[in-house]
Amino acid sequence: MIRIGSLVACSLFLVHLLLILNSHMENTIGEKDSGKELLIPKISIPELLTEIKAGKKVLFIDTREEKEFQEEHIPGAQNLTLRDVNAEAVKRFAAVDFVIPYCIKDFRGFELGKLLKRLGLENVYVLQKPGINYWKSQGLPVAGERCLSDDEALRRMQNNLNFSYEEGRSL
Amino acid sequence: MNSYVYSTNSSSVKYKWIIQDLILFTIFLVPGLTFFKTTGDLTVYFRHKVLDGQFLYVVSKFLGLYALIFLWLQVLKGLLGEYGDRFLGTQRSFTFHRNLGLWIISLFMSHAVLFVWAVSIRNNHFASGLLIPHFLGSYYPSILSLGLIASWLMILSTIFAALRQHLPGIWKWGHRLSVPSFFLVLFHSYFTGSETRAGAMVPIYYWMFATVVFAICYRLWKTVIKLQK
Repeated sequence: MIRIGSLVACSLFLVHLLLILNSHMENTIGEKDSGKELLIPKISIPELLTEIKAGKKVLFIDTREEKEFQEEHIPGAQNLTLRDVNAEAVKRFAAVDFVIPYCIKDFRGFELGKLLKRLGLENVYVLQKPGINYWKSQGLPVAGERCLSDDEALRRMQNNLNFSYEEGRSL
Repeated sequence: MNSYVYSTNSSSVKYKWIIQDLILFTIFLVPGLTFFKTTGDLTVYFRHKVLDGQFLYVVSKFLGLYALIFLWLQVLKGLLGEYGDRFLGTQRSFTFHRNLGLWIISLFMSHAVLFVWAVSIRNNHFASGLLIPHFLGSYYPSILSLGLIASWLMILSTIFAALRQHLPGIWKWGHRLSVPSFFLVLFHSYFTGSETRAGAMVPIYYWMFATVVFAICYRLWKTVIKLQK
């Protein structure tokens, strides 16, 4: 019993050690020096807003559960969870310039983006500073049961940032 | 998996055990297949630059999926007693129960630690907020809180089992906290997991829920019969 218990504890400890090493390397090496290619390119909110102003089509995909989406979401976003991704969705998203999957901190958003890329979509990006929490921290509007209606949130985007977000919402 | 298949000559009994083995096999296989269907090749996390803490999150998710399956096995085994061992094809021994319990608690703690760790790396500070239950806020923190409370109950349940010689009579009640803990884990997993409501996973969750409810009823019925005697 003690032997089996020790074995289990040791193996889990080793897994944790490996993971510590991996995350330490991630943090210390950094993006520029790691020599690794970004699996999904990042785009900052100002860059994204500039693209929208320039008339590019941007689609935000809220990868959280439906209830979370109803509570609040980036105006104009579509709700799609990881389990619901299919070839039809990929086909629909191909017509957009920027597909931005997101969630609270982009753990789920990144996984969905990765899946879309695996299914052949090339226009997938993640936000430089991840998640809807960062979006809100920048004073950008969100829509939903707990806040503004979609139309009101879009109107505020247009008024405050002086660009036509509606163009980006064209899907 | 099941020794009873080889210990009987009756073909009907043999088929019965084969069906049970198939059910168990499916319950263990489907979460893994679903996980790899959505996650894909795990080497991409090492070959490419990904968001900080992403791999920890993915490993945490995988451990969480299997922690629930093993907990279901243990709870069912405990509630159904000898019948449960025959049904599940597991050993009827204290050592097996203790080893399985140790494995389960290790899986759950790893799941929780890796998730908190992943969020901390992403936030660039310790995600202490995840260690405090929030039920009055929005959906996601409430569902996460179910998992948090489940982990406390599980730790308590384990402590009561470890102290069984010092707390005769009481420890059994404390150890039974693993049953509410199972339901909390089940709801936490079902309502927050990306894969848990995908296709074939749904019947597995319903099956786990139904079998444990049945086992509780069976146990209560057995207790009533015992008291009547």
